[in-house]
Amino acid sequence: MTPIQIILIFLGLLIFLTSYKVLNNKIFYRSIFLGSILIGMILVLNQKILDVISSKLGVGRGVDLIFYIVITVLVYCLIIFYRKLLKQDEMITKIIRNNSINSAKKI
Amino acid sequence: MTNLKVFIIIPSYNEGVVLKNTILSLPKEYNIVVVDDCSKVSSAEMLEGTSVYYLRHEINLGQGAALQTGMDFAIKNKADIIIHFDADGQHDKNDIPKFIDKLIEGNYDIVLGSRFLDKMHIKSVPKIKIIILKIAIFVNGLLTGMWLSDAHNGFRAMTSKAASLIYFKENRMAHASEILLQIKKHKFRFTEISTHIVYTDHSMEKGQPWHNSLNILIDLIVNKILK
Repeated sequence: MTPIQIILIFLGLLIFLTSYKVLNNKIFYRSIFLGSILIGMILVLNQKILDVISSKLGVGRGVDLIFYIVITVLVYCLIIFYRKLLKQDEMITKIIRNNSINSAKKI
Repeated sequence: MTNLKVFIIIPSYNEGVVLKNTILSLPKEYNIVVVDDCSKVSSAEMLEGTSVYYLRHEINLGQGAALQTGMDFAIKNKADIIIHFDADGQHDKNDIPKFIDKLIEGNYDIVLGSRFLDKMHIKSVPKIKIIILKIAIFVNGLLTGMWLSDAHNGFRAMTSKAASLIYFKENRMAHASEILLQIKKHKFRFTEISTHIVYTDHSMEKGQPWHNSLNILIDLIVNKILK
């Protein structure tokens, strides 16, 4: 096992343990997230699998395939988070609006 | 007309003494609602004795949100007609009865102000503003399918029935384009009337910079997809 493999496995385990609590009660996101970490750890330990998959997909190097997947996932996450942000913004607006209407005064 | 409860909604953000002057210029027969969008210094003290309804947002939300708050308040207080009026004194109070008359006589749901219907009024619009507005009219037309003579004119009147169906999701300036989408969605009867806009140093300073048009466009597109 190379040093980078040890570091990546250690980081993977750390994320695995911390996310277990963070994603509490969200089974769908929890299984996808934990599944991805598990797959990542397997690929770190056995890099040949990634090379085989990438060559079958016509990507070439395994690292390029990882790069494409990471970019796609990041963009997806950004959209999800932005959407959540907009919804929270909408909720805050409603609270602020109700407060201001309820405390309206004639001056 | 005298029996109608007319509410004038004035969204305000850091307008200072200009807001007071605008309010003092308005006839007392109207119910004036000032929505202070979390100005750095509260306008309440300064407006004391002006006989207005004062509402204040605890955080700055934007003009669209302030107008929606004012409309909700007016509807709650049984308004018959709701008018949007700018705080910076660029709208002419003498146009208000024209809006109300047009709304009633034409049996319209909404009457929109336009600075491009009368050649005399166009002369007072700065050239750079004309270019930006013409682009905005074109973009609005593409986005909404409604080809009007003006864009982002904050002077408009509506019945309370129409106002109760309108809901601005756009908290900031994009509400001025969003309202067109809502007119289309609810199949409101609408028309435009000529309004005179006074461009003072204050209103020009407070006005939107040209690059904000791009922000409005992005807001409209992104929020339409994600909300």
